[in-house]
Amino acid sequence: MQTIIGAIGRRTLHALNQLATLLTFAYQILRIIVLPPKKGISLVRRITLEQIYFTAVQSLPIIILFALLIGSMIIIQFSRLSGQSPLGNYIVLIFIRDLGPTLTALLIILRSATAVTIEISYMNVLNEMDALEMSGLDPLWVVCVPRLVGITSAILCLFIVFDITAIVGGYAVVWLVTYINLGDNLFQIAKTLSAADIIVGIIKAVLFGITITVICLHHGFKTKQHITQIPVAASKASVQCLGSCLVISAVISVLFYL
Amino acid sequence: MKRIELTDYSFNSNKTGRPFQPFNFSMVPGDVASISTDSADDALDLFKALATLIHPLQGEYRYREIKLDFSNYRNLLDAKKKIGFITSHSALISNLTVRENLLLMNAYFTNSFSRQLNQRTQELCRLFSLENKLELRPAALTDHDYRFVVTVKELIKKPGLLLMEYPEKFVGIMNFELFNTLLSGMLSSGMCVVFLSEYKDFIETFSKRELVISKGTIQEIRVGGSTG
Repeated sequence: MQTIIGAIGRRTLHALNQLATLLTFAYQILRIIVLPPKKGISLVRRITLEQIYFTAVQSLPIIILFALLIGSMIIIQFSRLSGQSPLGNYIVLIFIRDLGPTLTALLIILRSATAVTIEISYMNVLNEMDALEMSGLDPLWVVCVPRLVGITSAILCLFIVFDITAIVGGYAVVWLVTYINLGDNLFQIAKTLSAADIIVGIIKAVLFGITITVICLHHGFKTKQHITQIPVAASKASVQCLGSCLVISAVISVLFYL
Repeated sequence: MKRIELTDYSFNSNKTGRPFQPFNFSMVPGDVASISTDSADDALDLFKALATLIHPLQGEYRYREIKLDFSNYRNLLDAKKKIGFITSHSALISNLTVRENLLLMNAYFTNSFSRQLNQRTQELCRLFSLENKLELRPAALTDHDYRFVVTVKELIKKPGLLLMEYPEKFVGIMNFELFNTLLSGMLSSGMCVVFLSEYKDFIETFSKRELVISKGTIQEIRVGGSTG
């Protein structure tokens, strides 16, 4: 019994320690964003734009495809219930409040977060972080800040694209390929949609962006010695990112809607 | 004015975790010290400690008379950029081309994205036959060329302290004579050098002092003098 309690205690302490490390790391990066050094502004701006291009622009075709598929699937399924309850309510409930930010985050985790973990791990294992420092460059400023800003703004933009494509595109697909009568559901959505729904979506997207980036960077920086640690770091980071995003989503939904 | 001064300085080995005994070491401009050791790992640890990449267990490190504050890595960046670090631990940024690697400090400190290498960099690139490899990424370079680029990158920093592990490997036998001339010029302009080499001629030509690392202790021997 004592062993079990001891194991639970150790795991809890380990989890709390890891959470504290992540929060400290996030604080350090956010502090540099608020109080940026004068040196390297142009370089950081350029790397940030590159990150936005890699994460947002290159992900657009995949996000649009997924949004169309998921949007049309859900609209077809829920159109069967439209006689019993207004379809617009469900759409707002599902896409804008929860599914939009969460699925966008999931796609970013699959596509970009693992890439960031692997990239940072490689840089660490191949002594590139030390090389940056030996050139007088601050890795937190030139590596972490562009990724945090880039990925967070990418998730925010992609979440908006996902929601619009899923709802409007989903309706268009259903209208084009099926005979289901959708009535005035788009107007119902407009009526049901409140400012709080949009704000919650934006808050979730921003928090997901920060969480995903910080976790990936943290796992990347933790990989120090061996190249064989890199896949383990990438796997741990992606699972942790997904888990954290789901917890954040649940907490925000509870705070706003209960 | 001392370029570097380490007082009662001790640090842990990066590989074994074993601590080095506290030691004192200082260099004035133009000083050259060679390292003598049975273990290249120990020498690399000393290089990393001198480059402030390993934090001390105790003691004080002064660079140009200013005490370095190890409490935050950001406080060390100014000193680091003035230290040339040419060792097996040195690296290039793999997602940048050779040219971008050579221009990285310039881009950071001057906010300029000019792709033009300055005259000194061009001369060094010519010396190491890198002119046609400037648009390649580090992964596309041979081991020799990779080391040449690392050497050029560190030399164009105009370092106050140059740390070199096996310069004969980094510079290459073909370029060694030219490099020696270059090094003499840099020494006369006040640069300090600590190196580890197997080349007796090179050691005899340049080294005025010898650092002997043995079983976790670092002792200094003046060449032609007594143990210090």
